[in-house]
Amino acid sequence: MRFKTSIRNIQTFSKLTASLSSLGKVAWVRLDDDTVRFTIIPETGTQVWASLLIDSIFEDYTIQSAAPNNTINLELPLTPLHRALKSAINASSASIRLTKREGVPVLSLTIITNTISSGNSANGFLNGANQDPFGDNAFREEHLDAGKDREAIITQDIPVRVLTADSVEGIHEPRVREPDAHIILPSLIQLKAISDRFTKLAMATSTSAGRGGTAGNNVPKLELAANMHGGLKLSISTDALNISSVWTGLTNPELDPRQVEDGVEEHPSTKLKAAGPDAWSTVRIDGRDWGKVLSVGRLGGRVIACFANDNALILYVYLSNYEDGTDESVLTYYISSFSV
Amino acid sequence: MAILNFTLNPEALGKLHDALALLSVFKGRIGDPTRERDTAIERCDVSVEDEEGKTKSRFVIKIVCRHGVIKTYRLTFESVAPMHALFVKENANNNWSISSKTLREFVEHFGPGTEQLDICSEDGRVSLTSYTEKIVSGNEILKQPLRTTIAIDALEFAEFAVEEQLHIGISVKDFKSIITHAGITNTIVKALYSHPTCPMQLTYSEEGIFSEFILMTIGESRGASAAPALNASRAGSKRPAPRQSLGATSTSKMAATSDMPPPPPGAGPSRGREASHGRISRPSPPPPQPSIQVNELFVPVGEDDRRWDPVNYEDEEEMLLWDTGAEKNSATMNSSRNLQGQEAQPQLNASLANVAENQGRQPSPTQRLAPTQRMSEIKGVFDD
Repeated sequence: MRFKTSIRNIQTFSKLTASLSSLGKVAWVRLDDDTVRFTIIPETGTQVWASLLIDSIFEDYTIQSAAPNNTINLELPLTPLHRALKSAINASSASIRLTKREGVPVLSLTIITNTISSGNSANGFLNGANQDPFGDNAFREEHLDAGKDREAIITQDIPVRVLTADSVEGIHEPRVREPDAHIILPSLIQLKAISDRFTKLAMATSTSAGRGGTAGNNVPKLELAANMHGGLKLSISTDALNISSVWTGLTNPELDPRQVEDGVEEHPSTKLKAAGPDAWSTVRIDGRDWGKVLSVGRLGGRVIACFANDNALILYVYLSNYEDGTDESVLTYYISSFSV
Repeated sequence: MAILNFTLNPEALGKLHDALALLSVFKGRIGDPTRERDTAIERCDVSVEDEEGKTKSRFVIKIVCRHGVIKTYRLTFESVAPMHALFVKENANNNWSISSKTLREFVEHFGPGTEQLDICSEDGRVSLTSYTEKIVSGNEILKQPLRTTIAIDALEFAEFAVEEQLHIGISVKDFKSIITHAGITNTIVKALYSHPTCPMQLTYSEEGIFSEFILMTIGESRGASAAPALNASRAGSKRPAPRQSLGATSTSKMAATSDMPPPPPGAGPSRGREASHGRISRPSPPPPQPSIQVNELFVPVGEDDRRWDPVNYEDEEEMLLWDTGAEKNSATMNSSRNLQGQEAQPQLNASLANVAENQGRQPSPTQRLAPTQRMSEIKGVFDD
């Protein structure tokens, strides 16, 4: 079993880790010849299935295992990974390999940074070693060296568990019925700011009504709805308030006929579209969980939301790739809707 | 009878605060001059009362504020012979020194949760490794802290004269705290040590404060080649030099890797966190909590990326509400603060003469008067 790669884009990898870690502490990582997949399945809340092209974060990628397609399954804690990647932010290069440290499997992150040698040149003055500027020592090696960068090699070992193929066999991506509406979401930072504010308001009004208590569980749910005419509606209602924001002029992407089994005409979204702009598909979601989901906005991807009325909301986050291929790196978020 | 009296101006009070910051009454009360308007400090009188035969010695700090407010702190103290870890400089044949800023940059790479720091050099490269020895299994493996190794060129150091391949281990938490403190100003940190199990001394000075730390050390217990026979020579820890003077790399390697028992009882004081010399005996302020600082220092991803983090609704104070809750909130905060102070430092008999609403100890929380000020407006005694 062998896995070794350079990190092509440390920023993206770090942001990906940050986004994922808001939903769960441990990820199941599946590496093979073609893709890198990160899966987060928390006990409650949103699942993430992130499938990335190798080129989008790695380069010089080598993988080898006894399994078909050289698959390696790992259980990887995200907090240490994110912490380790922080060390690499200003690195000149960084690479990862799967290895063992004292019998424990680790993902070893090797980071090479150039240190600015200002520290030492300052010390040169303090040493005051060079008494005679015209002596034999006037052009010591130290002086030549002073302007040169030196390397510091930082190794961060992240503990991992190597999973057997059997143990992950039963884990499948959720299946959701064909959505009633699909729409490209507006700026996620805007959406996040408004969602967070709504949730805060709802918590404030409901906790004051309920005199503290178990405020966490009784928080009213956010209602998110879309139509097939470019409209998105975010609302929340409590005993004390009813508030909503509406976006218009958004894009409902066209369905690809090749990917729709029963034909575009029979698709639920076609029917919703025909029902006009007042026909909405609605889901109820937990504001705090939604806030964690929207943390993916830092990756700057294009986000399509698919609404299965009263059932589920699925977000597809497409990351821009280096090569303009047909395949894309996509993060899929499965958010189930709360009942009324 | 007062044996010493002096008066401080407000600026000097800041320095006094630094010196006393280790006492919990004064902890975190570093002032913000911009909000020192109403109760600005005009003068501070300090006296030390210590008399033979008297049961109590007191260190009295009297702060004279504007509007005739006088705050008096009476700190009881007991004179004891200063405890100082033993460090035999002559035996410390290994030494290095490095810019505190450079060292701090390296130390920032250490993640949280590790226990030991191993320092070793070989072929002109110096390795600093932070690790934890705890043996875990199963799911717990994933909770292991990051193990971090930083390999740097010995040329990063201003001076570096250390025995090749000598592994020496110290507490990573202590080291981080010290370096975070030293890294506030650009100074030179010097380390002196002999061999594992003998104390290591770290020193630096800045703006008249000379800081000296003596740290307990251990050898590399991770190494497989433990040589118990060498344990006998540990008794001779007063004379570490002879062993090192054997010179042979292999010998010293074995010494370093011999397994580590707890330090002998006599080494107790060497655990002493710090000891300070100087014209005035004055402890340096406690180093800032590294766990917070460390993260802040990675600016590049910082601020902008943080807006994407999920909101922590529990911690949010600010709420779009009318101000009805403000009084209640400050009352709770006030009480918790007082309680903390009492719990943490019961032996510290800091009584307060005139300003009861600020620092005063009420007999019980129920008898407390409602505060008339918000916490944010309250000035602490040492908030200068």
